[in-house]
Amino acid sequence: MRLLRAELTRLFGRRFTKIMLAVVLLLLAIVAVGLASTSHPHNAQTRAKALAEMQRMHEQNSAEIARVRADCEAQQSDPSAAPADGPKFPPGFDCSQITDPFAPTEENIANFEPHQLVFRTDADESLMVVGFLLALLAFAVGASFVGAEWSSGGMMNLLLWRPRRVPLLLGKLTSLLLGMLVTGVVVTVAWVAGVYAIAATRGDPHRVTRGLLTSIALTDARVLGLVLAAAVLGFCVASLGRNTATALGLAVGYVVVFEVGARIVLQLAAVPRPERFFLSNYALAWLAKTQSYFDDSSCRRAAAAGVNTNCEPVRWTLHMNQSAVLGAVLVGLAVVWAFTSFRRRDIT
Amino acid sequence: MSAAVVEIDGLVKTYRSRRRGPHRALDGFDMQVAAGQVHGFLGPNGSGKTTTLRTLLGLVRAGAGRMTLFGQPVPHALPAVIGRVGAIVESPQFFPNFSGRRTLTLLARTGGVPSRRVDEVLEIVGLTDRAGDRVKGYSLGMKQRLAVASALLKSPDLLILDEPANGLDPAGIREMRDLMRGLVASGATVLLSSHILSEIQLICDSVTIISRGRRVAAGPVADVLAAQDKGEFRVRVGEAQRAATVLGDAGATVRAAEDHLMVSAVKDPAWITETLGGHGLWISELTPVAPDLETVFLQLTEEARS
Repeated sequence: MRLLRAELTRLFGRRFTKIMLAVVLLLLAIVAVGLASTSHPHNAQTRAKALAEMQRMHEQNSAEIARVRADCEAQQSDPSAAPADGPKFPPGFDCSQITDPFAPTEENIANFEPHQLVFRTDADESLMVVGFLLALLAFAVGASFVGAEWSSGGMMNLLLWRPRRVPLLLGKLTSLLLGMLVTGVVVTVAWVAGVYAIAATRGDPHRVTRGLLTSIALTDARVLGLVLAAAVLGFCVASLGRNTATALGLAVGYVVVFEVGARIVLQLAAVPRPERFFLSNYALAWLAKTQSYFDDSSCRRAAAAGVNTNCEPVRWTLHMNQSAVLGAVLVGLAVVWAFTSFRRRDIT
Repeated sequence: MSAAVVEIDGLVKTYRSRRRGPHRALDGFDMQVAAGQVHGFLGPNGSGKTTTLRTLLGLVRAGAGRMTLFGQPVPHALPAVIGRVGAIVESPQFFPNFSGRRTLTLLARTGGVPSRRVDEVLEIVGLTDRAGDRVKGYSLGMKQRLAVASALLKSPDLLILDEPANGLDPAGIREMRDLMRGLVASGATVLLSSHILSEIQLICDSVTIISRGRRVAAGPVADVLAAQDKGEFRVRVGEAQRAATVLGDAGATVRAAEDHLMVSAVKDPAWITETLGGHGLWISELTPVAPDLETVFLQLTEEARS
């Protein structure tokens, strides 16, 4: 307990932690200002304006459809009537198929109104942005928290007070996770409250049901899970490399080489479902519960082979359960490796 | 001799490097440190001093050998005895943006030491006035004082100091010497690793000299010096050349210096007077030359190297 208290004080007393936290809060503030400034509450006036706009567009569409249908009918009776730069219809084409798919309905009105923040749908989605930012913060702070101890000789100093190595490292990791958990809870709760405040003043705060709050709470729990996993990974990699730069370098290297470079290579090679190889997609699926992709690799291979088919891309989905398994394996491996190495290594 | 606070027998440590291959840093090293003394630990760079201290403190895993602290086998029993050991190994660094007081407070909290002890140790090492300043603003000497303060926090029965005089000015070195004397007077034991041989000779009751991972000398300072005393005398005489021949013929080892002779392998200075007087040579100076620690250190470590 004494170690936890001391390490928590050390964690939040460090300049790096303060600066990183300030940067993340600043970015979130900018996003919040962006959300507020682009949101306009819907009312009778915006509705009337949208209705008028919808009618105008409908009339415009109807006139255009009528003209195209007339062209079609003209071409059916006289194929030479086809315009040089207009649509051409094959003989026998049923011109009655040309209809206006857009019919003004109550549901369509919202599409013609200005954007408004809807708490019911936007709170969850915006929480994911917070999750990614907090995960980056947790990775960097976790790496720096133990990396700075290694590079400064502080780890040796701590071992002269607490020679049991595994409990010492576990104490440091626990205090980091506790600190990140508290930070995550405070920031995400404040964020959801902020989104509600924006929706209440400049958007739609209605239809907040118990089910919605449960859904937001579950998304928040997954956000916190991602944050803690990132903290553990940063901490363990920095501990293995005995400095902060190892973890940060590995993260940057992974993003550049794998997330960017390998993504391009796999795309060029028409590898089926390339998205399954990238951690960022699993993180997205974890936060959003599912993440769907369209696999067009077989179509591209067929096209390259000159086979003319009506190829449809195959839709496939990454589920959060897959992300949970992958995340647990990665975190577990990192923890076991880091602790085993710390228990055995010479502190020089 | 009092009970041993530190006992090391046959300690072996081999570092393995893929590029440079294995390097045996400690090769059956032995050391005993008696309670209530300042014990000097000497050796040239790379001789194994810091490896010994690190191994004793559980930072480095030994290949073979036995170690005890306060009679308890370490590293196994280290958690039980570490509260009685204050140590600094190779000038520890601290977070530069924390103040000296905060650094010590966090360490005290980690070890369950009452926070009032922080002010006490700051006073002891003379950092009270600068305790609120950030460590990055400290001079090398002040950082060293802070390191010593961190080692003193536990009110240790054994204080292990690796080169504590690094960066200290002469006044600081003197304060450090007084501090160590004060600790020993209050019943503590100090194990002091240092390159400053004159300091060791001034302050230490006993020494261990290490070279190439092996102990080459150990015991009370006076005994170690006496063991290396070759019975050397500085002799000033009128006809130096003839005197050298006479003494050499009589069995002494003689080395001519600029204006005197160095005569060794002689047990009794009266023999020199008698031998030269018998040949009509009259001495104007006859001074015994006792070896100092530096001479002994260099002699022993060079012997070990050859």
